[in-house]
Amino acid sequence: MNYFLHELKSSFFSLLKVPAFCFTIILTLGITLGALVTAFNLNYLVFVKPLVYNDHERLVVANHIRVKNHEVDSEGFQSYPSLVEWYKKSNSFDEKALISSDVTQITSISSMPRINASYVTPSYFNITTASMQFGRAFNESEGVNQYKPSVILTDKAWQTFFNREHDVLGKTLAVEDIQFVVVGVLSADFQQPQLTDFRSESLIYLPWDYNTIREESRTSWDDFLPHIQFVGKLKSSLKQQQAQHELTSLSDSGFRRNTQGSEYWKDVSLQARLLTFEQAIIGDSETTSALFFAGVLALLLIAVANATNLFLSRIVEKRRQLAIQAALGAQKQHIFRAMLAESMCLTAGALLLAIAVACCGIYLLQQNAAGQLPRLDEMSLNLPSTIFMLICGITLSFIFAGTASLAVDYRGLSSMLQSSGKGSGLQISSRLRVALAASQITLAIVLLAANFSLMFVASAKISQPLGINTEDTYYFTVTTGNKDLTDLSISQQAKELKKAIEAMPEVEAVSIISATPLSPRMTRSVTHPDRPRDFVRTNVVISDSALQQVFSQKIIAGRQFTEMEVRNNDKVVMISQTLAKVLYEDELSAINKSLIYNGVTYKITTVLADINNPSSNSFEEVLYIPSELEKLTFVFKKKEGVQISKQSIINRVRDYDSKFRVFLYYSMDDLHYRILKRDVATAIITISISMLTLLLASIGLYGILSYNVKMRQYELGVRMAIGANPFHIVKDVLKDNSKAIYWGGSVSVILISLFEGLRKELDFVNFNIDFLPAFTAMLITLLLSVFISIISLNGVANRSPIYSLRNDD
Amino acid sequence: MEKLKIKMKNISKIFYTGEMETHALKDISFDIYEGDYISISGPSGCGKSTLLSLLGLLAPPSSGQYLIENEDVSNLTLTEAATIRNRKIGFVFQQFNLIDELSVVDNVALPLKYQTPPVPLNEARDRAIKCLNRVDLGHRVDHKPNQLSGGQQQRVAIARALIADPAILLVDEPTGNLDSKNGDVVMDMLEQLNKDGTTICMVTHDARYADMAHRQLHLLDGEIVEQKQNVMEAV
Repeated sequence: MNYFLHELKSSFFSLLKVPAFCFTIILTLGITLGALVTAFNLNYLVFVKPLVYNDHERLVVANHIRVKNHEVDSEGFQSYPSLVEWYKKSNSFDEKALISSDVTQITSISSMPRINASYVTPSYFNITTASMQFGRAFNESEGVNQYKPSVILTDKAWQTFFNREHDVLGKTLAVEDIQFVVVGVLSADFQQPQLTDFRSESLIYLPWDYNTIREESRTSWDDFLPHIQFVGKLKSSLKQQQAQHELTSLSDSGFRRNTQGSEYWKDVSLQARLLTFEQAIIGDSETTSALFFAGVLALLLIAVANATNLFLSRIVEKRRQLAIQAALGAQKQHIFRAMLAESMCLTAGALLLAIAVACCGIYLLQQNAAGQLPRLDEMSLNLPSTIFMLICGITLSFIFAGTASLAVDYRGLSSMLQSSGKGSGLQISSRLRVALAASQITLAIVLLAANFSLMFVASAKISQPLGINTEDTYYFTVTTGNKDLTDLSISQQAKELKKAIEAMPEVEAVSIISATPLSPRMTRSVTHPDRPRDFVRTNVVISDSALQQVFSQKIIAGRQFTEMEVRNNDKVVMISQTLAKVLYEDELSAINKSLIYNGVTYKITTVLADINNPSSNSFEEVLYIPSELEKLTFVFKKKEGVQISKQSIINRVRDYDSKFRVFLYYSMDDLHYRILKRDVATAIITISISMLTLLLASIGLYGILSYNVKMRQYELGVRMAIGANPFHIVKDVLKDNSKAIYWGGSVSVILISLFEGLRKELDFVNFNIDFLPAFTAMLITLLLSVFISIISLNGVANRSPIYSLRNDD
Repeated sequence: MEKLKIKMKNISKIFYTGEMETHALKDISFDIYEGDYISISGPSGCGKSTLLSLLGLLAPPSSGQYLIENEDVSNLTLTEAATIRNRKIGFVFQQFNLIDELSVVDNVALPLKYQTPPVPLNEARDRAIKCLNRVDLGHRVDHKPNQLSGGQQQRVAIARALIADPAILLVDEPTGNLDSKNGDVVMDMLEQLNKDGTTICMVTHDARYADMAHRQLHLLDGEIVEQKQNVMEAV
């Protein structure tokens, strides 16, 4: 042991003399190991670590699925009255709760921040094993239809809104102008279950009664909503199937009863699908997590191939020292031990860097992938990750030391001191060099092809023109506080407020609109007058006549709404190009024809160009109806070259009515960016990984190929001496390296084909590697290999042959 | 009138190691005529190999003028130097420097591959076999170099040096890696080649072999300290 410690010490000081070698190994291994530990941490949470909730295996989320003619028509959207029916009548659960999640506004604080809030029934806190720092969880007095204004704060809300005051209980917090009394503060380690569609962390919890679902949706069985859910703890004596059966019979009977007479819902049944908390929280992230791990592992393999090659070069450089040691009686194991000491010093350095990289990686994932990957708030450099990292480090040390020792021809070493030393004792076999270079090329091509596939899709989405002009356009909504207004009055106020905004000198046009062209919109069915049973699902946008002025959406045929048509609620509509094609096969022939919406016949006056909404769940059938809205939602376009602030809009709204407040305010470009955020992140991540892959592959290939050249330096000098010019030498070396390039390219083609074949067969991943990205990846890697082959000849082909013949560096 | 093949005028070569200058050759001048057989000798480190490198365009001179067949080759690019080396200079090294992966005939034909345009393969092979016959190795064409003795390898190297019909054959310690018997065979062969018209410039330590040349240049500390005409040549 003492000898080994001594060996470690002398290795450390010996390595200090080769800083470039150490820097390259520590940097490449540190970055890739750190990334691998981050990926491991995520996969450990996804695949291994049980949830923190008591009896988590009995916790379930119930979702509605609509089945039409034995096929699933829709999933994940909930019927409010059906959820309440489950909550009130089901007997399969020890505990059950309803949850709704939405953005709300704190009005008792001057900045009036918008925050995420959850509206829950009392059992939610038992189900999620919530413990309190202060006060209590909700009890029956905050149950359904009690309308008791209580609030439970998370630790973060307690810090943000009450500065951790210990007498917070009994104080009030105004949410949308309603005063809620603080009854409890959740402990800091409470983990909100990130259930599907609930992946935004709530800051406060309010009683279910105060949820933001509109009154008509609360009673409408055929209105299907996101962001509400039923959760429960199954009775231990029951199986999931039995509970699912009970919920299905409750929802289906209620649905049939309440949609009787509707032609559209005639063949539809409403069923329940139960998911365990694990299934709901993890969702479809298992493949993503596994692919993330596989991708980073491939990067690590490239780095390992690089490091192995560098170790081999290092041992060749140390051949004389090793020969002396062998002459003095060093055995194979001594040489292995010396190499192990060196590799352990280097992997220790790499592990230190890996810790920093893993911490950064975890932080970046938590900041940027929230909502897209599960259990991110639980990620940390925990014990399993640390053990995994250490195992990786030790394994790599043995791999490097073992490979380097195997390359030593021990017998050759002994005779080395008697010969000139040229070419004897220590040379890495050409087969191993080809294998190393080919593996670098293969891994680089496969990783780049996968990255490029994702990047091409993301960049196509990012660069796709929207079809509307979002420049200088803004969207805002106004709340009326607790002022009670009739629909008619709201409609009137909307018109007056529109005029007030229009009167601002910076504003070019204002429109009252039900939703922006990029937001999720109301979906309804329309039919062709001659095909009354042929329902076409379409988005519905209700707006006034100024909509075109704001967005400059292209009119394919027809004209804009007139103010008169808006005022009179005339039965005319504008439709999108796609809807025109679906109904009349041709956009031009749809003009002046009619369609049936809500049982009423409308005349088509206009066909508008499609909007390419990048949102993943959007579709292009859109119906535009002219009407005066009972909503205070606006879009406006500012004049070119002038500035307008959010505050000036807030002031103008306040000036109009001091109780009115601007609730949402954002530019359409911001909204567009928010929709594209995931694609932008994908593009940035894939570009970064591609660059890292190319960098690592370049370092590795350069190491191997320049070693090849070094081994052939004298021979190349001879060739030059007998008349080979630099071009001949480049050609010769390229020919020599073509074996590695050929094998690397071929194996990568096989691997990509295998991946595509398995993907088609098993459908285990939601992206494919197309020809173009695969071809681009191959072309770039092969060109890189050729380029590196050429630059590895630096100092040989571009210098007088005398240097090569003398084996001068 | 003998035809001038090589002219070196005031040639110097300086090597730089960091800030240190090493004057390997100082103001060397001499001529080589067609059919000449010159030996260069001197102690280790006197500049023999450097002079041979300059003669073979393996390195450029630091100053001075170097003419091959009246063409100034003092300042050539790597590619120009390679072309002239290929066409006009044949090299024979002390360590033979054959390429182990190639057969004997392919080693000999290698310079023809580097010509522009490259000599067709069949023609190159025929010419290589003729050269091998000249050095009495016509029966070993498809062997690999490591299947030959040291003397045979050196003869293959001589055949390779002759294949492009060079203006001059540069020979660096041709017997340095051979026993005396094989060394004598190689030297006899060089003598015969010279009699057949090949111009030869040879670096050697061995006074016995140096005496076989028509003219001897003796180098010391990078300078020619003695030029001696061989008696046989005088006769």
